[in-house]
Amino acid sequence: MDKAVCRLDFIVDEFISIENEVRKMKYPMLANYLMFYKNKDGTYRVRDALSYEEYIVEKHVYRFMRALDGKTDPHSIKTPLPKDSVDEIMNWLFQNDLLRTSRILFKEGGTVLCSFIFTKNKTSHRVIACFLNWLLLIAWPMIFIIGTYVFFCNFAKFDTDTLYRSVWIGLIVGFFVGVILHEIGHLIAGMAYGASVFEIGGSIDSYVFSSAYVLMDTGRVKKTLRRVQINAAGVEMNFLLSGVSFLASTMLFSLAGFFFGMAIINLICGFINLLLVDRLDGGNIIAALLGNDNVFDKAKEIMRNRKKRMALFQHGLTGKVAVIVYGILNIFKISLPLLALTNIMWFIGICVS
Amino acid sequence: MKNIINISILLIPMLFAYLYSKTWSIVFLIITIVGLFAVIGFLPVCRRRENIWMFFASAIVMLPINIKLIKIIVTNINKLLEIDFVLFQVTFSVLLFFVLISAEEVVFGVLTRIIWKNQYKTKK
Repeated sequence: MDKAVCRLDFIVDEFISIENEVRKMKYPMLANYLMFYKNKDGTYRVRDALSYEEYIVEKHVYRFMRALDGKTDPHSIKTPLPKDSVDEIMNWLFQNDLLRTSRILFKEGGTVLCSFIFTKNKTSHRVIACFLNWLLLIAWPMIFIIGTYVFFCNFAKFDTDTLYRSVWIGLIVGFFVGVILHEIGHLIAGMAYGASVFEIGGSIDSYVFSSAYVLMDTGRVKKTLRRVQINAAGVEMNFLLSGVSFLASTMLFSLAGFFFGMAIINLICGFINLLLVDRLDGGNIIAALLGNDNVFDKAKEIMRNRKKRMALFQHGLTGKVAVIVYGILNIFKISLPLLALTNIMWFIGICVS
Repeated sequence: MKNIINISILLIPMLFAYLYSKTWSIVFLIITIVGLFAVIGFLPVCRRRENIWMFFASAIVMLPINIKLIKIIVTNINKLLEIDFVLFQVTFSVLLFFVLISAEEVVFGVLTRIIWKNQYKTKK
């Protein structure tokens, strides 16, 4: 574990030095994942989309914050604020992680985020995203069903040598392409429905598992089905890619193994992402459908607290059903460890066979 | 008594699901799914809470089909991968069960929300 942490620190340092060299950023920049809402009394509510914390700032502090673009000296920004308070505000911003000095972000729980693309929520981008989102909604079930059907109709034509020839390359390439398209799916759906999309990048969770992410805030998206589509768009992209790969494997016979690998890995990733586990797309979809973004925390609380459980029982048959639903959601927590265990058993099975 | 009647009505689609798993007749599958939605729409106790009831009902009703599907998939996977390891079969079966239920819950949940848009939110 220590070796992994040391290696990661080296990688992080290199990213920061590359970032500073490339951007030649002399001064701190306001974090791109902040949202500002004007209050009736003239103050501004600042919402941090990364930590979900909120702050109230005065109008002059808000204007000062918006002027922090990384190229301007904070002390030279024209503001009615007294000169002494500029340092105080900069310290406060720094302590609350509201400033950015590099593309690397550290999230609670040991997650490291590396931003690749900073998105802009322009109207033109949203119009394109709307069109692409509708295209995705219509295309993915058709292409997935047709591709799978055509592949299995022609399955007898393939011999195992043809399929297994380059399947491993297809699995690896398919995984990376699938991850990128998965996040692009979330990005498109988020922009289409008015969510605040900040950036897209790669992440390492607790120094072990790497993936990609789209940082967005869906607070403005009120309709349940839209929130469901934002969470489901990633999986839809995986199934779309799987369908296209199945079709390609029947058409390009010489590359059948490669496309078969691509199709299989995206099919597996799509279904794994649909598991009803907190922070996976399936878990987020169910949370949106049940009308509670914190349904997994609620499920844990209900199962641990007998008083709350009994109180829910008093709400008639629906209350009892709710307790059973929370119980089922708690059982799903073992899915990811079970996935790891299955992989280990598969590996042992291969060795034994 | 009312509660027992309400839960018993749910067993009707489950019966058709069992018949589908035995006969693989598409008619039974259609009756199962339509019956499930009809029961959720018919029972007054489900009103404005259709999604939470559908979550519970679909997990129970689809059990016979899921068990049959798992048996078929695990048998075919063993043949394809040529692995004869009992622990792998057990863990893979359980994982597949979770995957199938998850996919069904998502699909039924989305369809339920499309049909019944106005529902109560669960308390945070």
